[in-house]
Amino acid sequence: MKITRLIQQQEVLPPCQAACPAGVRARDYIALIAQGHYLDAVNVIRQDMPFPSACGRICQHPCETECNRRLADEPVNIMHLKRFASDYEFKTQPSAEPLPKIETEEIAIIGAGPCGLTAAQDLTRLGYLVTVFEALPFPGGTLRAALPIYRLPRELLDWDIHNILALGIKLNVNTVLGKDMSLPELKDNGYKAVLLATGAERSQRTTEVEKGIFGEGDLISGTVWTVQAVGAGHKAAILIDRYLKGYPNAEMVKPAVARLQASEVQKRIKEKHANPQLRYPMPLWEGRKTELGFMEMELGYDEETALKEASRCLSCGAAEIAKDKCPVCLTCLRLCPYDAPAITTGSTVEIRPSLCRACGLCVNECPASAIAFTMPGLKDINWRIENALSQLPNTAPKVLAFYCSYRLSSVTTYTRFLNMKPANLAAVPVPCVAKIGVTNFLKAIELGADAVLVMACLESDCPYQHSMFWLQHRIETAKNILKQLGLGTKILSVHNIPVSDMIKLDKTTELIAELKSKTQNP
Amino acid sequence: MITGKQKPLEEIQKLIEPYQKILILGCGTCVTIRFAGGEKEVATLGSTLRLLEKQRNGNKTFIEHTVRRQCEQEFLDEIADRLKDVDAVLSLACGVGVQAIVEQFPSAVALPGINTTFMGRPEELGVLSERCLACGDCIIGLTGGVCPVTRCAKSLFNGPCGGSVAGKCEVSPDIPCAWQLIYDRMARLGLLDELAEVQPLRDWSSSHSGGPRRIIREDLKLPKTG
Repeated sequence: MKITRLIQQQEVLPPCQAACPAGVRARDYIALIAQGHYLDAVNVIRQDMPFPSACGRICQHPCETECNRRLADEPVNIMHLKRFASDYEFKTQPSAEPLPKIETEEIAIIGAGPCGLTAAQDLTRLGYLVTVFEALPFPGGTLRAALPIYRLPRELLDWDIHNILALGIKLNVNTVLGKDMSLPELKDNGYKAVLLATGAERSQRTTEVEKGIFGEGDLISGTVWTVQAVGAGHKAAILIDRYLKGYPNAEMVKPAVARLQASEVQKRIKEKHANPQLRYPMPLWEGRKTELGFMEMELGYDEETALKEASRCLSCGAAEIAKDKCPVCLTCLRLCPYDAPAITTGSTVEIRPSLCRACGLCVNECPASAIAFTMPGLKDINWRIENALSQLPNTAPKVLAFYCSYRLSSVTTYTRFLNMKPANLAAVPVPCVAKIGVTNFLKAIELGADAVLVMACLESDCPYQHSMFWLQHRIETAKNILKQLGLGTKILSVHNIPVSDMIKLDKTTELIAELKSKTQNP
Repeated sequence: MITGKQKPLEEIQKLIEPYQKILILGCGTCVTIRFAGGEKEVATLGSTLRLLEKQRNGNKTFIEHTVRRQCEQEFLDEIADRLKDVDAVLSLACGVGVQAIVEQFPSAVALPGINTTFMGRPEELGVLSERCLACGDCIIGLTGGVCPVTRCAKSLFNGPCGGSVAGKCEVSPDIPCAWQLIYDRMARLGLLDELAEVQPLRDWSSSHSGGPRRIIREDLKLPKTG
């Protein structure tokens, strides 16, 4: 699924995203990893950070310095989780599709380093036709020219660059500005804007050199971190887009940051809202260094460790009220177990990020559908239902099972479950089944499910207060509707399964057998 | 505020029976706040009706939309284009909204999906209770803030009837006797003497008994152009 990034105005950002010079949505991709959607996570990563192979290994990670988790123990290992996701994608190598051309203007970018290629990607996503000119025989800039291969394996850098260029960007290497072509020539050839992203060797002072010619990246700032160069690329793309559309220069709005108090972080960990473990260390090569040669010493997280590390994230500031839809009915305020919504001085309601635990009760109970999760992976349940059901054969009754993805942290059990489950059962993981609403249950049946099972945790295992109460509520409402439809109330059922059972093999086998019998006679 | 409840599914089915392409239209104000006809209810009803249609092997189609307030012309303008593609609008707004649709789009068919019931408030989440009958001549300043028109089953103005027992109305033990409430309130305020004062006869023509009402505010009218 292509998750389109709009330059969206989020009211509150998690501290990781706010601290990142490239605006990488760390919380969002970590939530997707935690649910097992690794490729969707990479989709999000690539939009903000087109070089995950590099930043997943060598970044200074200001995100980790600001991570709220550090107030209790240690920050989430945001960098290594980025590496895990992008390494995973490299193994599966999904194809990248070129994007449609919407705008008529053509843009030239001089320099195929992190700044230039990021700007090229952003402008292509906005619908422009972009050509990149590079003086060296290969793209990648400092990443290729300066980083040793044991820090950044070249095949991974090539894969990142491939994903950028595959969007439909033209690249001309061995082309030197001033020798093989000049700025006036570019103008004559019809380029309506030029970005100079040639790096730190020759410095400039101003960003807009003359009308239509912009400079960004190390050229302006001097040598900086890769992530800052990527951030400069994003900025350049916005400037060029606004210039071509005739918009005035906009003040970049500084959104608020979801900072938590140390006591709040400690409380959430104590109440099991996040994995209480310390950071999982990066496994290192333990053999003889001579055998390692020029390969990486850091081996990368395996899947199980990545899931466990990702579940240390607190998902700060994840729910927001859309003021234009909110009728201020105060329902969210009344039902929140954590007192997160509050009435503002303007008599509207705001969810205080310092208290919101992203439990999702208000999202589902809001009568105006005005509360949304700001993270992908939490707002697309209907899409996941459709996807899951479409993969089932038409030869047997179709059964859809929702289960709590927080229980996923044992990969071996999950893999076993997937291998053993009946072929006519589709499983949709949700971070806490209390995030499923009445409309989701009905949608599942609308889309062809003959039975819907909710595999919930025991109330005593679920860290979210009142989750089981509201789940039961919604099941009752859905069952009442199904009764009126004459569909029988057995087609929707809840099973409360202790967490410990999900991990033991014999219990998984029992569950599979029970599911098999249910799927044969839904 | 205005409060209502969704009509039973059978009744809605009968209403939409003659039509093929139906727009389910929600309203983002009162019925949203009262959980009767907002965006969520529109989505739920849409799924339900589609499932029903599948069962009947019918080919009705349903599109869903919610406007901020159905009783305002500018918000209803939003649906002008959609109306071209549908045979009927199943409106989940209060009665005002349903009528606004046909007043603005005279050739449209507008069907009510909810029963508008009363003006009231939530005593707690999930318990909605009637408070005002819009009689047009509010005297609750004389009755300690409790309305005898609405809260008394007989709208009595002179005190409780003989059916008031242990503070409950004879209609149902769930209904407090309005005059008991008034008496208790006035006693607490130390104003019982005022209850003994004789008030002039009430002119009920300000209520709906006098015919459908209008309020004309010359000070609010826009300047006439042209």
